[in-house]
Amino acid sequence: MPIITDSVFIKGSSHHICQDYAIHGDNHAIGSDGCSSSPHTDVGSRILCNTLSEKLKECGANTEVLRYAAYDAALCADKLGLPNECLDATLFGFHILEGQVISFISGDGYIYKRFRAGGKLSEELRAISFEPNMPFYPNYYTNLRRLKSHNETGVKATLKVDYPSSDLPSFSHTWEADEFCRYESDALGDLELLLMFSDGLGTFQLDKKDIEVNKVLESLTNIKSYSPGFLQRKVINGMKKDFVGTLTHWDDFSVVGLINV
Amino acid sequence: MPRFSTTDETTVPVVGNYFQFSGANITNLGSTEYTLVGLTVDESGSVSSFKDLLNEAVKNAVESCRKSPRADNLLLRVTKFGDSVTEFHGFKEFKSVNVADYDDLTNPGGMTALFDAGVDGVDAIAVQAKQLSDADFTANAIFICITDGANNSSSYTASKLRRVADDAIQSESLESIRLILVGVNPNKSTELTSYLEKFRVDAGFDQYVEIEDATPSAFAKLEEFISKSISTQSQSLGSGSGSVAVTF
Repeated sequence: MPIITDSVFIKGSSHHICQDYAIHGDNHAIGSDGCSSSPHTDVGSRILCNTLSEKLKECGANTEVLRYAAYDAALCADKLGLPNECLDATLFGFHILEGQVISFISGDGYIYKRFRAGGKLSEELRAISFEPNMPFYPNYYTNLRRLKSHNETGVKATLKVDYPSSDLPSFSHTWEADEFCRYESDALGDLELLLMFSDGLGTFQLDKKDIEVNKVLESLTNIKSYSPGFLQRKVINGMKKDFVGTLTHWDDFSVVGLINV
Repeated sequence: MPRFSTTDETTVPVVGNYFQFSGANITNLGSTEYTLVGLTVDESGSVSSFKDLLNEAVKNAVESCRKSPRADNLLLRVTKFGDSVTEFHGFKEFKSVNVADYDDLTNPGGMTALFDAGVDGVDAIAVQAKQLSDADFTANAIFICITDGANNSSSYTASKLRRVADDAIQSESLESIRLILVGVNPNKSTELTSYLEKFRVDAGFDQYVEIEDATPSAFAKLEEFISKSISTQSQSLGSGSGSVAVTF
């Protein structure tokens, strides 16, 4: 069965315009969450996703690709007459290359992986958050003053790792969040499902009461049909069936993913 | 059980509640929502005088739907009925349909299994809709039955068709279903009109329209009506209710 990629983004209930964006191609998918307090980030997140998509085709995923994409996106925004701050947005996604899946994230969000090796299933969930809520945006690479300012504000990044289907204890690690971009590489053969989310994942509510991320994840990872559009169907139709009541999310929500069965 | 005339990689055999049919291969479907289109066409002996016009009308209606902005969200199944029901092709995306095949859609002969064609058509829609719903797709449906005569060769009744349609809606797999009965009545028989009107009520069709002339212009009107009805029903998907009747 071929690998199937997909992406979806949906406006949050507290937003007038969706500042999240997500796209996918045959071997990659990219999502972006625009900063609410910066101007025109709905456009900026689109520029970043498309610029990064072109960069991945050009040079593949590497530890500099987000920086290169940010430079090109800044040029694009400038040509469009948009302020540079429109690119204040997270970037996350993956690129499948030579039997490896390279996933990357700059800013906050979630990474879920399900592995199946030797008939044994395992799951991992990584949650990346920033304190105070000032995620590192790749756009800071394009402006040394803002990069320096961000690095000097003492922002802490926390990576929390959970193992949803096992008894393994979760753990977290916190560190100075300067120039935070995380890259991970996994063998495609063992990876059954990869989902990467914007921080909107943590804002779901059922009948206006908060739902635990693990409950939302349980629904999102219960994929009913392994065919193109699997994430769109799950998010647009399937999740409503998994919960009794009115399901909402106040923040914009985007997810990119692959299935490999 | 309908006879199958075509099977390919886009369809898979499905056991319905009353008949078997060729269902869409869900692993090939890439949209989030579909309008299931069931079309059944009379091929009893009496159709022979306007067979070519009927084939052409259905062919052009299908061609028109292929060009619709909603074409990627339509799944079409076509059957024909004489002594029994025959599946022309199972549920397929319009891009997989070869319209040239419709030149030979009907081969008139035999009697009129009108009620069976209705039960088969609506039940296949209901079962396919359940499969789609289970896989997180949303669906609505339209079923169009074209006939020129009264039933005289069925195992099921008109009221059975109504129950099958009611069950389809109550299962919540379908957002809505629209049932349309088309009477071809070139002899302007008042008995046939009355019969089909009664069939509409007994079976629960939403709309009955009649062609009173077997002329190219009358069938051109039919093809436009079919394609508009399909398009309107598909556009209503997601609204929570069915489409309004298209004027014939």
